[in-house]
Amino acid sequence: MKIVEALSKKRCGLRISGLDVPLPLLLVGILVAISTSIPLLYLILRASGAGTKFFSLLLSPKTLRVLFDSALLALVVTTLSALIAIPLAFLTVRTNLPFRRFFSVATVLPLAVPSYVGSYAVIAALGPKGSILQNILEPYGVSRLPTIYGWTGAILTLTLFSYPYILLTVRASLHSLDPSLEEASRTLGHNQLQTFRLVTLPHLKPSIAAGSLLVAFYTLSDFGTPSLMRFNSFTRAIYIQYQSSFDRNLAAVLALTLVALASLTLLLEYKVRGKVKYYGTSSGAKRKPKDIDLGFWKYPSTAFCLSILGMSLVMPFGVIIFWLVRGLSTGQEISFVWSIALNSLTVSAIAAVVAVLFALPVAFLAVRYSGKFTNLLERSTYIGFALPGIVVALSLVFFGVKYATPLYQTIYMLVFAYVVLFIPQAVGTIRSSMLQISPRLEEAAQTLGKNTLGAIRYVTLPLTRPGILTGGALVFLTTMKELPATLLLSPTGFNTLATRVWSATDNAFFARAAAPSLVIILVSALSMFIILSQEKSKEEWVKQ
Amino acid sequence: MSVIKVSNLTKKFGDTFAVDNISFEVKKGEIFAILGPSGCGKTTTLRLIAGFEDPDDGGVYIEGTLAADKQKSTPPENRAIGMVFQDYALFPHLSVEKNILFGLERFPREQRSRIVINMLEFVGLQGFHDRYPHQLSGGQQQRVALARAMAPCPVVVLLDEPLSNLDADMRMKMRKELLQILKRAQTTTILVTHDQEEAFTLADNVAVLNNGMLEQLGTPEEIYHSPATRFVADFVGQADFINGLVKDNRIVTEIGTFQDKSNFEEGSHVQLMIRPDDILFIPDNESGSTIVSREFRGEENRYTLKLPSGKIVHSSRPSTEVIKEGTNVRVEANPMHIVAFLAEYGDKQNE
Repeated sequence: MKIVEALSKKRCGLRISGLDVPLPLLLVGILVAISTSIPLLYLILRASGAGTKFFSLLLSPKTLRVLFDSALLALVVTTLSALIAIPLAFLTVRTNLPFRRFFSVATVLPLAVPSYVGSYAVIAALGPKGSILQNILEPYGVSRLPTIYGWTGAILTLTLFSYPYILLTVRASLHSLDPSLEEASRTLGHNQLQTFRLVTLPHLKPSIAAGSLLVAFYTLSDFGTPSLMRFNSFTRAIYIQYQSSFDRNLAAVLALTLVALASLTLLLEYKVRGKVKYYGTSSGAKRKPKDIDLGFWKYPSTAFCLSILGMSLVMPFGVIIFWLVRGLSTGQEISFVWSIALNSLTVSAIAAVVAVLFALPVAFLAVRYSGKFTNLLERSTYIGFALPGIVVALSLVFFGVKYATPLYQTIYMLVFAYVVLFIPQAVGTIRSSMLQISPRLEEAAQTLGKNTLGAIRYVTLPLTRPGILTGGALVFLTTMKELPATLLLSPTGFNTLATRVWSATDNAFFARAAAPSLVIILVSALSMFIILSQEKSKEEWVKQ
Repeated sequence: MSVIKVSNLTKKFGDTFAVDNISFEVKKGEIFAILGPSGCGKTTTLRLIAGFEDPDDGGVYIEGTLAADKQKSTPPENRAIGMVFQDYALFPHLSVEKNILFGLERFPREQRSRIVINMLEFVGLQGFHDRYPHQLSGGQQQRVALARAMAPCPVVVLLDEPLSNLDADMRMKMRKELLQILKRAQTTTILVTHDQEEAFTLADNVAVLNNGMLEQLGTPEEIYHSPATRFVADFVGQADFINGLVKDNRIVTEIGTFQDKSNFEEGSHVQLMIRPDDILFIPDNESGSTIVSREFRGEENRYTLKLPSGKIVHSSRPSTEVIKEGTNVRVEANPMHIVAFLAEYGDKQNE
């Protein structure tokens, strides 16, 4: 067989770490990176367009008030979450708590409740008018309860449904603590409480910090709870500005400040996370520490665990079931839900497919042609992680109204927002999948007659399937429960399950929000399950 | 005409020369080995021939046609070379049959399954069509990889450390089988290895590489008995070096006087390389050498001997007899296989 000379190629001018990057691939990667940066870039442009007014707006009493309130909220929520999570972690890992296995799993589940569903549950249970509690107390002459809105509601909801972030990190850290450290402390004269303070707590500090920063980040960037609880943190303030549309500049300033704060928090979390130890320090055989006997304390401890679960799990489900039954018995339309559900499913499916399609070239570049430039391309797609949904939405509203009017308030803009927000999930899973494929497989395909594209098509892609499917599933599920971008960018009359819950709660139509909430919790639980099982396998990797 | 010709081939990574001005030719049906320690550039050379790297200078010629040089390069899929990777690189998502079919797109459809059957028979894996790579042992995987590479009738098959992934006894067995398969198919082969025994048993010709440079090119016997450089002498097989002085066109050492084949200058200090199988000794109470220790190696005993000057040399003897440690012996060397090198700066000269 003669060699085919015809395709002798001139070297492509672009060499990245010694390899020739196929030009079309590189162009797509650059396109994706630019697209995901558009929201942030445009926002910065807009804000700088305000000129000198920028600083006066930034330092105005309004902005400072919002900044102060948001920061304080984050601080309080984080502290309370830590106060709940640390004892829970300790009880479920190191003691002989009754029903320990059950509590271990159950106390993490509140993560599956999106913030707006949680807010719905709290308001529908404890709200001043029309809620369950008010209905119960009505016969006793209570026609109106003290308001749940504002600080109380916001703190309660955010704490109840984000404490598991700290719980997870602290638990992992506790698992890795070498028992001989605590035993050594005991032999040196310290009792259990002192040992906890002097040995265990310092070991836990990085994980507490990491989890806390995550809680702070989610508190800052959450839209559902502040908006429903009428609490004027950044996200709500931005939304109000958008609705009233007087002061575009103020909205831009608020958005940028939020992004700065959120990114700072994320950056700190990333740094602290590196210090968390997932593996033991001793090289000897791992011994599990003996369970601490709670003795009499097991009653108060169990009561504590049960009350937390009661508020964060039983209450939301109870509320939903109550209002679902109420709604059905008073003849509410269920059929309405199907068309809305279909909207959610369709737009989420489209977002998932688009996200995966664009994540593939980015991941491939980062893995096979690894170098400073391609890594930068990949990293830039992760912007979506740090941008709160409302910020992306706002920026695209500005952009759409000014430059892309035909696209404004169309499904295309909405899908674009979803992709910007969630493509990092797809890039992440596809990338890990690809990292496990040896480049030798692609080279083998080349020695058997396939060119680069053929090698990718017949070898790389089939083997990346797990990552593609997982990434697609994650984007699908996360889009299903997304709220702020959907609120701002949906075409008029286009409702998803999420916006349905939100608007129903906002208008106190509690029964209407019940069925969609249930669906969303199930969807969210599924995505949480997928994410956690990925984290687990990563941990196993590190342990080796 | 050679099947593969490599001419002044050079490749740099940053400032280091991975491959430095290497030239050799491989003829049809020949098994050619590139031998050297890790990092010597042998795998890079193989990848240059395959087309996964491009030369910075020099050229690769396939059947007389230029395949790659500084300016242009034919992509691997058009070079008609087959390659077996160190970890076999079998496609995990395809069955054995589909793996082999993978490279047969250019063959007419009717012929393809027959080729697969033939190849499987050829490598001794009849009936393995439907198995998947993870169901195969290391040796079986290697045979599939070989079948896959050979099925499209490439002009040359490249093997990257073919036996290093197998355990010791698998390795012996596969070495024989590999040789049989390659010779029966009359496949032109280039293999890369750090194992000198492997290179010697499989190859017709060997190129020894060190730090990117070609140290010697020759048959296994030439490499072993007439190493061209100190490095080759040391790398290939065990070697001891004894100091010698050139006097009257002869080399004088403490274990005898030998012919000066290289015509060194009168008075030069040289180092004589001798292999353990060329050192003989006879118990002799009058002589000043002693047996320091004995190492039992199964087929042979490897004796460590101390010469009167304090110099240590080694000698191999069949293990059927045992000569006690401490025995005084007279040491001699077989003059046929002596190789001499000019003494380099740093060699100890304790005469």
